[in-house]
Amino acid sequence: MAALADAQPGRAAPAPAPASATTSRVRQRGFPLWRWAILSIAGLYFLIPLYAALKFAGYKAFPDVVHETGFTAALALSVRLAVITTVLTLLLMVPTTVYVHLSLPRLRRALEVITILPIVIPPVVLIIGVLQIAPAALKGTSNLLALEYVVLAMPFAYRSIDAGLRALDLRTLFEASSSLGANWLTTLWRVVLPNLRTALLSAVVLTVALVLGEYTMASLDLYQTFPVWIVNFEQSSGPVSTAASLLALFVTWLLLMAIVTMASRGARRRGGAEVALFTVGRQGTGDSR
Amino acid sequence: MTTQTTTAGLSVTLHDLHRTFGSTQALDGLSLEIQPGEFVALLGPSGCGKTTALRIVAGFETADSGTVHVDGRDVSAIPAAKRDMGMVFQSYSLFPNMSALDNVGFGLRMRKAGTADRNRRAAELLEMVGLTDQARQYPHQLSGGQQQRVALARALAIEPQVLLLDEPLSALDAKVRLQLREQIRSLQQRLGITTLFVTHDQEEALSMADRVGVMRNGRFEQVAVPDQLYAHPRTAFVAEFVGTMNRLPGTLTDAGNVTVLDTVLPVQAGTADGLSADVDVLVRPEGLRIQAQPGGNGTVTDRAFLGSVSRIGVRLSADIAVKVDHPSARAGDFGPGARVQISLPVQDAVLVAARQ
Repeated sequence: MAALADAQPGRAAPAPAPASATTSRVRQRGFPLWRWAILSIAGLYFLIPLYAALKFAGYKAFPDVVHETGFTAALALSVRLAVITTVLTLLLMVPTTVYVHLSLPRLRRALEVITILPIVIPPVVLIIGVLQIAPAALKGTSNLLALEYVVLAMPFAYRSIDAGLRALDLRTLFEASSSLGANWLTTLWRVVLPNLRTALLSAVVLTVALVLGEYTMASLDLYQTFPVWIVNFEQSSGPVSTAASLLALFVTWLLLMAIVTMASRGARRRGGAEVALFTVGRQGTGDSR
Repeated sequence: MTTQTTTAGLSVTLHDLHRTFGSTQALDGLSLEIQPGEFVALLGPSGCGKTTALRIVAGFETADSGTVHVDGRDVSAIPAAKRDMGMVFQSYSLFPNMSALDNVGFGLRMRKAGTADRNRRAAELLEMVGLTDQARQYPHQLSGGQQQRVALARALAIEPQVLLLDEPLSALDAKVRLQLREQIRSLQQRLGITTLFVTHDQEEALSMADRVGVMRNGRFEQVAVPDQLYAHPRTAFVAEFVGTMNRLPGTLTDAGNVTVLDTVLPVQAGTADGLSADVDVLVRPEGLRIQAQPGGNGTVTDRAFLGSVSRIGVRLSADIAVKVDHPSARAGDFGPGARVQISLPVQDAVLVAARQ
């Protein structure tokens, strides 16, 4: 008994840096029962509807989904919008956020408020707003929807990037890089972006998930994106439409998991942050200033 | 020690630099000439403008007026990225996404050096700072001291015209700081690179630099070699900022001497200007003499062993206490409570206005 008690502190002592696997195993062992209970209840809450949907659709409905009219076009449109929105969002938000952090830190508060607006303002208002200022060439094309999605994705993208930047000593990095002969763009590309990898992937994940699932705006704008198609189709065939939504859910989920896993692995190798969907926290112990 | 770069040092001249931030005058007519290969420290309390001066030389700040010349050329209009100044920062500034080797090679990469060239040179520099084994490690795997050594190697890799050090040691613990102090100094001397070093730590400045500029309110109080600064401080500020100083009340005589502890001393030129008769005389702990004497003028309060000397605290009256350095071998008599006589050998006295 005494020997066991002696061994205990040794095992609980923080493992040295490379043994992150050991640390998480220790943490799992200490996972108390009540947490499992909450996890199970929440899990059931999510899983039962999914199971019910699966039961309702039946396995045979899945192959049929692909052959339904409009499926491919709707999915293609959604994916295309996701790509355009993500690219535009990153191009817009990364330099803006970096610039504000670097040169106008007092504007950060204001930016935080501005970027929360798309969540508060009803979609209809956003649509009308975008319509007012959109270039004529875009009006009447589905690309207009991408512009609306950029606005919608802004809160999530901004928060991810902002959190990522806060973990860096941006000013010193820029000055160090510039004293070594790099210009602004080179520094952004070679120093800042690689260190924002995790935050950027987190922004991408959120944006993609948002676009693939957005219904209101697309339906108001009368475009047949994937979610709109599912709803329209439901009126003709319940089981097939349900199968389609399940499919959409799994594909999106797999996609996100893939991005998150990839990013976390890359980040861990370099001692960076772990990908979390809303915040990006420093993980390492040795690199705090 | 393998192939070393010998950068022929260049002269650096700061001329009449002014800089204001809002209502704060950070630099108020700062001028300084640094000889080729010289190591100059800017020393002063926080907010004295020393960092601003360094950042203007680096090109990160612009002066409201005044110029910076390197090797006789005005660099004021040249952006930081084109100034060829190696800089080491106070906070850890290594690029977290790059290994030590890639960090050191970054400046060479910006200069379009080939990969093989760059890696060879970066490896040389890492060897120079003693970190060959850490070349493949990322910053988060290195200790604070190692990170600053990589940062130093990175700054030197571009064979800079001038080396700028912005309190590079202040985030490190005492022992590492001492080692790195010596390493920086010996590297600097070997490479002969002109260096400007900013610090608030007087020990660092005095032990490393050829010359030290003590700054206050955006201008120099005195620029001198360390022993000059210590032995002949030109102003009261310098006297009290550098080293330990005692204050003893004295009276200025008509003859231009000062009476302190019943001794008449000559006054160091310039320090009596504008003072009334009531003055304080500044004396270093080693400038006072202590003797055991039953009817003496002071009582020992404490004694600290510093190695070859002991620093003895003596209370002379209710509001005057002094520190006296005495050889430890003969300090045995001066335990707390001992009655002693404190006296002043003849020396040039540095005066300041008496405290109210």
